[in-house]
Amino acid sequence: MMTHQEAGPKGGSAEKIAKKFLIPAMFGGLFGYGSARLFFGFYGKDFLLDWTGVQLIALVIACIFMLVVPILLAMSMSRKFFESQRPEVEFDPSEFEQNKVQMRLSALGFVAYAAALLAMAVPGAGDSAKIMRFGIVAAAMAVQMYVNWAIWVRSDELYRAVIRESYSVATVLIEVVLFLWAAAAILGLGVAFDPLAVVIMLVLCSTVPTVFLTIKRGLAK
Amino acid sequence: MENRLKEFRLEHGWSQGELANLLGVSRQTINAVETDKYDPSLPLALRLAKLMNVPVEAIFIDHWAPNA
Repeated sequence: MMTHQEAGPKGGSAEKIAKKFLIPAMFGGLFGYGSARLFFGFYGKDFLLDWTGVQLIALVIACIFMLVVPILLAMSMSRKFFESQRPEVEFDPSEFEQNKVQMRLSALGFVAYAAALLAMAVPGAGDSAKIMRFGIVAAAMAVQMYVNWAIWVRSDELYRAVIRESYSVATVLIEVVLFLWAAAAILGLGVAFDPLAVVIMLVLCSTVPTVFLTIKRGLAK
Repeated sequence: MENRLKEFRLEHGWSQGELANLLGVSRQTINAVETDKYDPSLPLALRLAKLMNVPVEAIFIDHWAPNA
């Protein structure tokens, strides 16, 4: 069976640097330029000037999530690309088949998160727009619940352990941050309790432990 | 937990993927156990021992000892 170790290093260091940094940077630049053009087209040149810091953070997180989506989809569609992203040791041909559904589900989850964040962060007026944006958030949460369930039922014990550990750490983090934040707001220490900021905190407190534990358990580089 | 899973797996001539398929888990689970990144559940540890035809403590090494 062909393994990564047997296959040996591919290309020189310049090629590795290009693959690791330059190509993603190029895609990131194109994505950023395209997104900015799209936003400026919709809202005019000055639209970001009216945004609060929290709205901008929500926009950045949504953009990061949307950047992850094409990577996951590419990995789920190309066995070669998937293999190149796997950490060390042996590659099993059935692994790609087992993982491609999970990757597509994860991509859907990131789209749902990004859509919910944007629906809450992007300023807009009018009752119909508010109802539509609430509908987007509700639909995104329904999708997110389905994705969590679908990933759980397809996972084996390692993936389930990572999910359990991630959410245990996230719960502790959320509890600490929420209590301190609420206390500071209630006691009038100059800290606002902005609902969008709370949502961003929840997203970060659940995403960061998941990424950390996924790497720690050897599921990602 | 320290273990000798890779040694036993190679003795049987199985790849990580083949062993994973026999046990109904992912290849990453076998890799994570072999590289000490994950301690398997008790059922998985017992199934590994059954497949390898050895007692579970031959695969998983626990250095703990009760205080005398």
